[in-house]
Amino acid sequence: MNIFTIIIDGLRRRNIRTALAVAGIAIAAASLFSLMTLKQGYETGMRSEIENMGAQIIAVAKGCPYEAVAVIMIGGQVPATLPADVTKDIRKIPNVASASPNVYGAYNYLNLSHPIIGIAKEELALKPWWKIEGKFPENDNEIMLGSVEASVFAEKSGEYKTIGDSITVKAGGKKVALKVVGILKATGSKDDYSTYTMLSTAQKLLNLEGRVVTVNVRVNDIGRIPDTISAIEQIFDVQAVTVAQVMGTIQNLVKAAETMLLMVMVIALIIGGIGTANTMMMSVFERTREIGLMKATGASGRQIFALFFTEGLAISLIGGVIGVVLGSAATLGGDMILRNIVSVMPSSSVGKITVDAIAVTLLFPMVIGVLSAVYPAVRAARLNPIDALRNE
Amino acid sequence: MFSLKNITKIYQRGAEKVFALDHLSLDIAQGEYAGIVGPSGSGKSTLMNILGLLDIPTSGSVYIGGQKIEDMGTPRQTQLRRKTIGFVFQQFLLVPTMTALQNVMLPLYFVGSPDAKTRAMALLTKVGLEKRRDHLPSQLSGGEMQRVAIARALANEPSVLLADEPAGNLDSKTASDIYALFGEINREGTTIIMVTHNHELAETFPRMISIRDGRLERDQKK
Repeated sequence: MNIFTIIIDGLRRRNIRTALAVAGIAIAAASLFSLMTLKQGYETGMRSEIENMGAQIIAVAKGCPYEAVAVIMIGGQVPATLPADVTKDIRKIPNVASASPNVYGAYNYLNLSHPIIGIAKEELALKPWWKIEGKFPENDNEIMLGSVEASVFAEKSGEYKTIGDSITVKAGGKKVALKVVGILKATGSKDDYSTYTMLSTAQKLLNLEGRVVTVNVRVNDIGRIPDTISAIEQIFDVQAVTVAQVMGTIQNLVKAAETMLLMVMVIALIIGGIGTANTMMMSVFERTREIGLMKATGASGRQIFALFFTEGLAISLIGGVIGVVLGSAATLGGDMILRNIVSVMPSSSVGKITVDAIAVTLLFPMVIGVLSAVYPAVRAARLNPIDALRNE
Repeated sequence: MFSLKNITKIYQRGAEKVFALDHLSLDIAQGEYAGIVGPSGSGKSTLMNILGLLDIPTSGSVYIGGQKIEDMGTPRQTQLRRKTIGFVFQQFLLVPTMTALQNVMLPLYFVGSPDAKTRAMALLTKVGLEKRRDHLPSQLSGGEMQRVAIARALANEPSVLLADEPAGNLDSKTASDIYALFGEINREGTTIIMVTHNHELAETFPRMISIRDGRLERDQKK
């Protein structure tokens, strides 16, 4: 016999009440867990997504720059464009290491819209992790397909099987044949769902000759980014945002929703704690005589305290563990649900189960458990054995 | 063994003061077998609680083995109670969800005894219940439950057993078996102090102490 024999005996005697107290803690812990993991996954996902853009500053036409960047990230046509000469102006600014113009748009193929990105060849240097099968387009009407697009086309189109084949698409109101000269191997990012061409090809296809949608800028000294931004914005009709700003804005939105959710979770856990405290109090009341008996047979106040305290802690710990298990399931499912309701989502899975989240999910109910078990345990320890034995 | 000097215990019942014990002095030697008798409300139970270190007197001093109790702190009182005193109650007070063996092991758990199981098993054998070790109290008869309770009281080898109407809930045949068991335990050297309503029975004990209105009415030794 050890302390656990006695505790398990105590918990088993109140099967249903114990189960309800455990469930209360478990549900609260599960919500906390999935919220934490989804948040962390979303943040790291967004960060790597934006880092994949390879730029530190993005110059766009005046308008809402965040909208522009968000549209670029999910693919689509940006309403405002800049004259192509802006790129040259930006390159003249001190601290600018490289500036590469991009054109974003979409073409229609197999009755679906597909994002197309025109980039200058120097931009390849900004994406050293790109592995290309075949080659990057060097002539007009040549394209490179992202890995996902390539496999979907190979399966569905009939005219395209492998590198060297052409597809007939609709772009800018015209029918054009585009020759696939390369495939971008899987990157695990948005890039896998895009089609790439030379800048001039994209400009022609999208009727944007002489225009660019963004200029992606890398700097020499990150510390001087504010100065560089104001220099860029001296150019007519241009505004610049940093990748950090875009991410910050998205994160602020996420954070606001998350803070509200977190409050709800904390309240849920506190209610779970009150449930545990209640169960423990009932346990002390019901077992008053038993406590008296234990004291009469030589139990010290400290031993009685330990007994009831551990019992309360056990409820919280079991609840926490079940919470982690349920939360893991919710996190994996939550990734799919979020994908359907949130427009700006990283292409990698946001459901990442981390050690931090497990630790917090186990620790927080423990703290609540400690707080809710202390009072009943102290009460049990302080019971006067005579009153306890007299209790009917 | 026990020495009570001028013990008074006062309970407050509303505005009224009740003298449960009124300047009572008493000595009980090691190895005695004493019955305490008296009508309801005479102070028997209060006396037992004070002897068992469960209650403290309003005034007067209690000595156990020459040590003055009021000078001890609670931890030392708990230790002394563990080592010296075993309790047997009228309602048995077994833990209903624990087996006979586990009930006997309970006090051994609190002192951290390493061979608790062997010792508890030996005690169950002593009270003749070795075959009932895995039964729950609800599966035992009244007499059997009280035997388990006695085995539990003996777990820490106390020098005294305090029994409060141990046969009060039992039929007369079972009751006499229980008294016989107490007699046997006493012959092995354990002091027995038993509260009872049964005057006739108490007359057969080596010593009978009568209490009335919190005072010693008669103290008769054979």
